[in-house]
Amino acid sequence: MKFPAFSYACPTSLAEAIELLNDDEDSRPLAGGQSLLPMMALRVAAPRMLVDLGNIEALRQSVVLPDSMRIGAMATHAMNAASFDIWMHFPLMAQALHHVAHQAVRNRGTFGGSIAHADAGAEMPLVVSALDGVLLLDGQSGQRTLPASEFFQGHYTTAIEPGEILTGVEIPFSDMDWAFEELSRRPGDLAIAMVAAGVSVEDGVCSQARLMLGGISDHPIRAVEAETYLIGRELTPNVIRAAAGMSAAGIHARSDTHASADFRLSLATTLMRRALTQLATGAI
Amino acid sequence: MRRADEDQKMGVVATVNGRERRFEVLPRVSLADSLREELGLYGVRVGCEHGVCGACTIIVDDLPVRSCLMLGVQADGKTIRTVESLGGGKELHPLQQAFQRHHALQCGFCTSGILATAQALLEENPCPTRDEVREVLSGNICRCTGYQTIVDAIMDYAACAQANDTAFDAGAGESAT
Repeated sequence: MKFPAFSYACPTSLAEAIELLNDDEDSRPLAGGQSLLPMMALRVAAPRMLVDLGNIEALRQSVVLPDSMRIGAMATHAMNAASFDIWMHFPLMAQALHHVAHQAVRNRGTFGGSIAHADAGAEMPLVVSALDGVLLLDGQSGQRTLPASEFFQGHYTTAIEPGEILTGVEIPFSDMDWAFEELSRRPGDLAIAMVAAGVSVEDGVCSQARLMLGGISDHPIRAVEAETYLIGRELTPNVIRAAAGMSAAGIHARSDTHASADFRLSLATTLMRRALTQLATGAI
Repeated sequence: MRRADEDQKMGVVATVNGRERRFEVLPRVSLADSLREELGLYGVRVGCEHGVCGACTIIVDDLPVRSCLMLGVQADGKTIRTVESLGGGKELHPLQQAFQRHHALQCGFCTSGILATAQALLEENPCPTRDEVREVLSGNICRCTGYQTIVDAIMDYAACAQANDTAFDAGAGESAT
């Protein structure tokens, strides 16, 4: 359908954008528009005003810092997929970007937009959670930061307050090796289930582990029990099978037209086993 | 700051198919509808209108995008190419000729979006593999052909271009035939 009527503003500075968002409580920031505009076409959303962030150059910039990288909210998926810094520092993100939508959507869709939208089947919220990213928010009462673990609260639900803008994410460099696995119905679709697995192996045994599941529940879930189990163990097929089983245990999975809760949990176990097997065999 | 109320038209200046064009649209009008209704570029097809089918794909600042998921007002200052720019708009471009040879279209509704997708691929990667072609085409839905002939046509065009050592030229075909 055609979009419902709305007023439009295209500010060139962050301060102007924040002011506009605070002037009208029914205004929404427009990033790449690859999720919000379809929702408007489908009448799931009908904001009175769109504040286009496309002309705020500062939001597009990414910077490499000594121990981390700050990725601009308005960097497109295509820019990030072509970024040497991201490929070098965050191979997990580079792998996950292959699964994000299609080329034409990646050219407009943004990193920050995907995170602020927080669709349970989107890849960037999982990546940012797995890598312990810190979300940078700016609003009328000033700047604040939030760890990813407190930011994602549910399907389409985040800790962003009305009138605030996500300006970027600071992601610390990780010394773990990472693998990403996803299942979706067609290439480019949102994930039915996906996993991000990171491990460090020292003297043949696992010294650090981070296991995250996405698409299963309404927000990224960390498999703490399975992580603890892996520490001090060699990544043998039996250990991997046990950890993969543990990672999905106890999760309240969602059920929708694409997959039942049981199927999602079964996929989570399988994908986690594949990801850990990749890491154990080095076949990334 | 550029700004308009919901019932207020906004002026847009964009380079469309090599010419500077000016038009005025309401904020709610998609770029696809703006190009069709304001500039008469009916080669831009409007299919699903929510970014799934790929029929409305055009090239904005050298990148393929969904014109149904961009607003007309966002075209200001952009350089836009639609299917009308292929072959100078007079003759079929060699890529279109390859589509014709391979029966890569039946009803033709998805074709302009697929040509834009293929054009963007070939400009970046003049000799793609079959898998690479299939990968980029995964964002375009065609209900007639089953895709095989579309992939055949793009591969055939790429092989000819490679044999002649020519880069993708959107204006090619103008003087042909």
